[in-house]
Amino acid sequence: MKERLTLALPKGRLLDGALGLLRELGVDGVDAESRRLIFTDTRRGLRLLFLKPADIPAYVTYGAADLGIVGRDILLEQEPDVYEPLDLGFGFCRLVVAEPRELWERDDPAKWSWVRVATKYPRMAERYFSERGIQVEIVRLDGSIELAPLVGLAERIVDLVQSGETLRVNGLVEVAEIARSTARVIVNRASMKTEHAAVTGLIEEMRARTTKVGR
Amino acid sequence: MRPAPTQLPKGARIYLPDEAGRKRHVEARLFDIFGRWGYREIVTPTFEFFDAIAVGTDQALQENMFKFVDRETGRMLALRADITPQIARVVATRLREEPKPIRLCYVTNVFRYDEPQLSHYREFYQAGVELIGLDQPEAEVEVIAMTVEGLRALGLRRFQIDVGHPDFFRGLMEEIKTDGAREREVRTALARKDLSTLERLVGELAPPAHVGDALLALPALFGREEVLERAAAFARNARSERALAHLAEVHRLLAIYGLAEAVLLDLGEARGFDYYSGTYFEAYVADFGAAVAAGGRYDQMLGRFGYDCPAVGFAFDVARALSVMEAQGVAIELPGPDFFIIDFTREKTAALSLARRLRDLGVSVARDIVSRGLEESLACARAQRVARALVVGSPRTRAGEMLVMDLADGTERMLEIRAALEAPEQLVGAGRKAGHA
Repeated sequence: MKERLTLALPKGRLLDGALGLLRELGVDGVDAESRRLIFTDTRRGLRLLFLKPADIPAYVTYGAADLGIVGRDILLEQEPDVYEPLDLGFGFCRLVVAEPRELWERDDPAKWSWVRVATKYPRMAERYFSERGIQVEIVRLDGSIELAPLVGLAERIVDLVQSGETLRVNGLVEVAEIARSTARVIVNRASMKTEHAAVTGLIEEMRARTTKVGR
Repeated sequence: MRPAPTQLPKGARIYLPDEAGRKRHVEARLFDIFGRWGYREIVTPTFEFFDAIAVGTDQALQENMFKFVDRETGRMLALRADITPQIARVVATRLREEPKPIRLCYVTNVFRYDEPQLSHYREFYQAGVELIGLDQPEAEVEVIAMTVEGLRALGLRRFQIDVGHPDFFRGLMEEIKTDGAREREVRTALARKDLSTLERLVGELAPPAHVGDALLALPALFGREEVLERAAAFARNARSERALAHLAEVHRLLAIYGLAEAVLLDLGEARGFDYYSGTYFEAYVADFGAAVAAGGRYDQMLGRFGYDCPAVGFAFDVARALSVMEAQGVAIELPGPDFFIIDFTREKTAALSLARRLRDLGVSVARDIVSRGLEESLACARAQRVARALVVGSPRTRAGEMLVMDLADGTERMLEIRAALEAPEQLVGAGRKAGHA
């Protein structure tokens, strides 16, 4: 048996939900405000890593972390070779195609044959459009995607929306939904086998808390 | 921009001498085990006509083959992407009259246009076996036992053999009678143990209640022997029942081999090639996120080449075995030459005859050849992990004598060259030889 399991947590919008869940499980000693990136929980003996969400699949695939909490959007984009046993239910958001209101007023998505989109999710965008027979030119960006149409970098964007507020203040309108996302637990394939009891035990505890919250 | 001349194509890999030494160590250990279990080596061509190679492989793999055109016939050639279908064909066409079972083994390179991932390249090395002509569960147990022996021989700890049977799942899907696309979706979700997607798919497929319950239970149907009991409640078709009965027998035999602890039963594992017809297993080692070895039963494979004959097999992925050994801190000793001869005389007769006599005894001897100072030559010898240096004709030695320096412990002594040539065994002595064997 391993000394302790390592769990990778996403910094950013899913962190509060993840920490809330861990507190319920009795995990202690985490100071999210601190700049430290690694914590050891004294009560349960979990090692916690704080990572950029997009890096979590790599840590878990390679076994640097046994488990991770990450949005399904990132799993759909990266398609890592990991187990994905639990939907935690929080962090709901949607991946959508959006465009400026003035374009939207005269646009007919059914007539699209070629589009240029700015996005952080090139693979999902590519897949979505090519499945519909639409040629797509992807402008890959890393943040502030909503800016792209305003400055003429791309006519449309593919991005995550939660409330839709960011789209609205930037004068953008949702045209199509590509996918829905919530926080997921992912597990390294070898850890699931070699630390089977500890890993499934932890997942079942999380599952119990998740259904209790009642999404 | 022109690529740098050092650039390799994606997925190609060089093994420098120390790395190649470690790779050879892994291959030799495994090959040795195969021999001790009575397996004989088989060598197949690196490239063949694509049509021939395609017969035994599924489409996804065919798409990932390196293909090129035969200059003489204009037909498509492909590099070997999987050796098992090649061996199956050779057995079906050339060895079918041989008494069964046939035990074959190989250490070979394999080529696939895979995206490079965890210690996986487009040219990679496999060491494995095929056991042909047995339909008894004991065949699977033999190759699983060999896998465990291989993991132990490589010095690995904390490993699990994950054993499943695809027919349990296939039997359930037959009860639903769904189309191929839907079945693939279910399989993908299952392969990821993605319960929420599975719930959605079961909702949409609306199967009979007991099948729906079974599909949703599958991701959790893994663990020790109790899994068989839990699974029995869901097996209401002949195919799933047969799969469970077969797996139970495999498990019973594994327990007799003393391997029950090393094995995890996993009915929810829907991975692996489509050609696996029965028991399927993967070896996982703690600290490493991918299977190090995998194998199983493929009773229909030889039939594709016109000869119905059951078979099982498995292979280690050599590069992954090396990575996981490194992750677990398993040291591989890479000794340099046993002797390094530094001869300062012009004629070099002593060096040449000493080298020949010593090599005749079966030890390794390298010569310096470069003209330089003794200290520089010794530094070079140490860098090559030489055990002993023999120095002839240096200012420190008298005519007819040589200096024998043990580079490991720093001791040295003088020896008559003539005496050494008459009885070179005295130079070999104890110590180094034992460590080298």
